[in-house]
Amino acid sequence: MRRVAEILLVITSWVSSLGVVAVVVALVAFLVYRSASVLDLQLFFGDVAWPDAVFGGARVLHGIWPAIAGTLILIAASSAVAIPLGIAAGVFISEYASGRFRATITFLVDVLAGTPSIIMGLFGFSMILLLRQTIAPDAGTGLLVAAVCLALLVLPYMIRATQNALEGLPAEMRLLGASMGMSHSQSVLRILIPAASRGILSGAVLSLGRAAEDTAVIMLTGAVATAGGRGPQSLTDKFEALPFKIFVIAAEHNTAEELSVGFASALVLLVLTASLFSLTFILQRSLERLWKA
Amino acid sequence: MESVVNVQGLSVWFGDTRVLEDIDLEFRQGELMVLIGPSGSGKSTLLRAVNRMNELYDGVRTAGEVTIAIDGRAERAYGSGASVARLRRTAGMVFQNPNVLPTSIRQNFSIPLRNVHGLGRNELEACMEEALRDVELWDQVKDRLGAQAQSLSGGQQQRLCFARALALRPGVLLLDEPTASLDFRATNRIEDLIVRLKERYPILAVSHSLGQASRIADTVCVLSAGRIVRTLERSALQDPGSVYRLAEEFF
Amino acid sequence: MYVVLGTAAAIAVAAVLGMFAFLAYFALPLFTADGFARMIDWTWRPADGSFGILPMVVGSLGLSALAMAVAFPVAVAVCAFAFGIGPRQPARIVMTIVNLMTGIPTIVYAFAAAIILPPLLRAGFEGGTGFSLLGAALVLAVLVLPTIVLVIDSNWQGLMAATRHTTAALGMNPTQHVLGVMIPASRAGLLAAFVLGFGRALGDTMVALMLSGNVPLVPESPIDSVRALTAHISLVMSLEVGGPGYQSAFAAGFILLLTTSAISIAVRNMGRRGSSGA
Repeated sequence: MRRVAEILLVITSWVSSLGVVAVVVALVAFLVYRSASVLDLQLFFGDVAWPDAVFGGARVLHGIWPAIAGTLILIAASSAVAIPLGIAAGVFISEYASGRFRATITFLVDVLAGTPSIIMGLFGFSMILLLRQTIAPDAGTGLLVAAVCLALLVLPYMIRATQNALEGLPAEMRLLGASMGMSHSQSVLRILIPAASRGILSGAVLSLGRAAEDTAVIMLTGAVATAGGRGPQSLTDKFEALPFKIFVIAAEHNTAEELSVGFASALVLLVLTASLFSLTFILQRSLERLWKA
Repeated sequence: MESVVNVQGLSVWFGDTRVLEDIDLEFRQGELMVLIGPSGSGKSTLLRAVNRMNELYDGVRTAGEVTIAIDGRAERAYGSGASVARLRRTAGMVFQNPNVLPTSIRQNFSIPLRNVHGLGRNELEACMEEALRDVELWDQVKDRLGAQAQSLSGGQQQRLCFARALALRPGVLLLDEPTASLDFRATNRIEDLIVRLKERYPILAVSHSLGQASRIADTVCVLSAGRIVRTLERSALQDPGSVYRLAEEFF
Repeated sequence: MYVVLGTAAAIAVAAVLGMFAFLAYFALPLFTADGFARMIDWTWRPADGSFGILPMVVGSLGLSALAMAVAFPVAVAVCAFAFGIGPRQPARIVMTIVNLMTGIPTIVYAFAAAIILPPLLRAGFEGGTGFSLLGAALVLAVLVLPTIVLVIDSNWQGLMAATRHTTAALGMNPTQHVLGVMIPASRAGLLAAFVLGFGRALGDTMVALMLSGNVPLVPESPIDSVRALTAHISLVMSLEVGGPGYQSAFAAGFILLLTTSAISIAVRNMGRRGSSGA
């Protein structure tokens, strides 16, 4: 009986592991295979010369560049909110807050981390709704609202990464500042934060990746299928974004070529997020080695 | 007397560092042999070479041969086709820190006994009771066998580990500084236990204390920098002068 | 410095509380006696004035349950592989790939699956569109797998270090170690992994939206179409403005938020009990 359980576990563990690897390999291979026919500069910029599109503001009507530009600007805007706020809140929780207060904030951060992203989108949408009913009848969804909601989505990652990086420092490092006659704030600013910087950085990169891949938030807060062939020009503009573009193509493609563009967009997004996550992974690994050595 | 463990030309490397060099060692039925030496001398590595526990570490390489009596037959521990699991079952091991499994007292017996010997429920209870009586722990735990093993005191946990090793009916006991983490009184009880057990089992032990070695050992092997530099019989250990000189020389 | 950092923390807190307050405020009109009765109903047919969201509650729970029924055993088996059953090098590769999976966007899974799976399901099962509970649950299982594996992994690392030598010295092989010690001794951690995975599955929008068919009916078989609460929100928001149907999106959001918050509280309590017991 016991022997049977052992054999079963060995078999399922091999089958499961091989299955997981097979799914990932097959997914990537399938994306490459189905997008191979359209993978060139034309995919990105259509008939427009790329410097004109990237630097000249030329409109790209047949190409995914506007979606890429939209995603990059969206990541930048949401990071501009989430990263400083997340680091500051993380430092506060780890180094200043105490007792009940600290437990309460940590708990709320946990709740935020477990909240579905569509809820953040709904939240953004309802904010606009409220603004319309009250002080700003013209308010609408757009880049700013989407960026704020995305910031809310990635904020818990940023706070946790900062908290973990600080709390993972060797205990002696906390005494170091005091032993040199520094105040608590000096010690945090000059010793602890620099020492934890790599962990904080890896949290920031992870946040970028999470912001880049999310679809549910932006579909309720201003992402559109076509936005005039350019990236957003102001904070209130509607915008194209890569994940939303993929969603739209899945729902509305008419030709095999459009479908190929969908696969190519998925591949581009995968490369973008996978490199961000790999960077996070490498940063964390190097961090572990740093403290083990 | 017949030899229980026979080590010949044993060398062990961790990475590029040679931890043991060309060790020869033999110990027999009824013998309690204690390995001593400064830290880093390789005494624990030698002990773990007997049941091939070194292989759980990264980058280890072993040369030479260890022969061990398994069920009355001498078998080569590192020979091709040797069963590591059977070898480790034959050698009952007790570690420096009491390594009870993070479960109940009863499960500390039932998990290995069921897996290793395939015992049923009734045999299992009998086997556990006998082992716990052996180490004089039965009366203290018989009413709370379902309690967490980690709720016992350090000395009790270590006796539980002895009992667990005994329950598996070992052919030899390997003790890796079994009192190093215990206080004075718990140490005394464990030493008494070891002396009692040597009537029934050949024992190879590592000790951090020369005093302990001279109290309990039949034979003491002194290791230094990966070699056996001296072997002393019991008679030599009773002379305080020689023990003192040993201490001067090696510690 | 204290003021600046404290303000940041206060903003983070305010954001969470604000989110609750907003959704509650917008869902409030439904919680009159009449509105409540209309919402807690088995029929969603806005044209006839039926706005029941119970089919979506069932859809969400069914999707998540089926996804976990697949993902959880696979995740435990993958961990068993990584913690001793698999050879060292393959084990490392598998864990690296699982880590990489966290970097694959949901939309990428959903897109590829939406193109590949429905035709296969149509061929495999008679009838239906292929956009079904089963198809969506399988993709969700892949999506939540890394979450479950990584929670178990972090739970097992310490346990492994503490018990590996012990069981080896007792003559137990790695399979016996996983089966006899790791799994029984980490029940709280496994439960936490399960609950977190379930929460992830419940909160996903894109896989449900793109693969489940979005039919607001209670499914009678795994190849029936279903609609999840998350998908319901996005569908309602994109289709209509104003009216009770519109408000039901907020009700769905509020239910989701309450459920996932309850899950966060549960996991937190598990963690506390686990650490005090060790």
